[in-house]
Amino acid sequence: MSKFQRVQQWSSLARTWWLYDAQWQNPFQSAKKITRVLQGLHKPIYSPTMDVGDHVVVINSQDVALLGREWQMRVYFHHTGYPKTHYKGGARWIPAWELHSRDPTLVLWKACYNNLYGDIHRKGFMARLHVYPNSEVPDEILCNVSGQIRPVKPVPKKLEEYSPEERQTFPQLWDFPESYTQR
Amino acid sequence: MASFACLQRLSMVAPRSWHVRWMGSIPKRPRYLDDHLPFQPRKYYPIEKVEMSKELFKRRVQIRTDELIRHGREQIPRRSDFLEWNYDSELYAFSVRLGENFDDSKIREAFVDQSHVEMEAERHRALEMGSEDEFAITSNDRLAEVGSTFLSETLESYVRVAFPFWPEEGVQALVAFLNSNEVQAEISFHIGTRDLIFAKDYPPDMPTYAKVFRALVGVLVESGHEDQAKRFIYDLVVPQLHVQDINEIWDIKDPMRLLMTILKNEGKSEPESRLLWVSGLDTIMACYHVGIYVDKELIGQGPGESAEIAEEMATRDALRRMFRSDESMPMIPMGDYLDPNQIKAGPKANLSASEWSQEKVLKNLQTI
Repeated sequence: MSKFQRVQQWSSLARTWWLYDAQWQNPFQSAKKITRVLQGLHKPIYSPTMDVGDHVVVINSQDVALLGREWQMRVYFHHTGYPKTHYKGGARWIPAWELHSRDPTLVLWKACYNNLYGDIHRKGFMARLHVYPNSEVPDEILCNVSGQIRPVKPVPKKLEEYSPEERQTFPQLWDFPESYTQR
Repeated sequence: MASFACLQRLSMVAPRSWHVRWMGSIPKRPRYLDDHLPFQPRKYYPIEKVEMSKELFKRRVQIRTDELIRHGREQIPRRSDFLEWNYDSELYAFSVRLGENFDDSKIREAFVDQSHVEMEAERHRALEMGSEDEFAITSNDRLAEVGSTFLSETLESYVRVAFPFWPEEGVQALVAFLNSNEVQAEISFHIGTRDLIFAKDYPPDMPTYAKVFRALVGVLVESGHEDQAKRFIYDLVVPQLHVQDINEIWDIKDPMRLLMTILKNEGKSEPESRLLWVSGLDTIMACYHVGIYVDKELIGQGPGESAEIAEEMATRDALRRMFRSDESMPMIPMGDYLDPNQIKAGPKANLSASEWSQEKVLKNLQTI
């Protein structure tokens, strides 16, 4: 193997670390993109027999957005393992808002977990998913990141983020009286 | 036998889906497929397993004999020890196989090694058979020298024409590789000289093979067929360049220093190495990509597991792009794509590495 072939092989098979900003994104559509990268389906060297998945660091998972009334209506099931008659027993159906309040990373984590095929490789792929509720990521993880996955929907700018000049020059359809807008 | 009878009765009752092999059970493979075979496989194993066990046995025997040969406890028998060996026919077949008309007297001389000459001389002395002046077997030393000089000349002119952008040190490295004992011994072995060589050991060792090959070239040169000899070299020796990356054959010791010299000759500024990106910095699978910039233009980039390795590969990439031997280089002229008339004997030496610059090379090419 020549020197060039050796480093080329290293570069083809090395794992890359991607960043995904889940701010105001649909977690289930994001999960499709994230799981594609976790499995390695974005690489031309993909093969189901070889684990070529990459790492994904997700930030702002606490600001994830669900459709319509899903926060109230979507339930997450788990069984405590104890029988129904036991005081700790039975099944639990927890709505998404309650799960999110207990652990703000779980909604997106479970979206990715359930998007992957339920075979023996799933735990390995999920081990490479690093979810953080806000932008505080440990330095040893953040220094590995070298690329970003484009979010599903573009993040709109808040009114406060526009500068006063842009606000004034923005085209208006009609003039409002002074008393109309409240600041 | 009572027990066998009840076994038979059981086989008629037991369904075939049970994974049980009995003496009288019907094989799953239909009989008409195996009836023509010289031996009938045992009825209670499928034929694929029998073939597999035979193959594994053969491999075990092969490994054992290889080990014995390596330790010298068993010797490979010479082909000439077996029946139906006619040296003249073998020589004739050899020349027809290569499509060359070798001179009959000289070709016999080409296959005789010095060790064989000494061995025969010893034997003559031991048996006291006549005076040593009458003993006349010549070895292939002289022919090998003639062939060796001709090989060096043709290969040098070929490499200079095939790689006009390469500095002289690279040209010499390629020629040394093609002239080396290892390469020529391999060619010699594969054209079938093993059983034709007269030498002390059997099978002959590497330098003996290489010498025989040079002697064969010498035979063609001495018989006056220089064009044929050149064709012989272009067909057999030149394709050995295909074996590995030519940038590996010429090992540049200090690529950064060479790059700086070349850029100074071209009048450009000093090279600047920049980190393009790094992935997995804190992990064991870290991958750095470094690029070399000259006047804010990227001239080479390379990956590596550390920044130093990536920088070195980037400088090597920049150099191979300058010398036009990178991955997008045109095919090395060989076979049908090689016109011997284009390679004139004795072209001027390429520029040396310390004076190399792209404008000079292009100017030289224009004048040719």
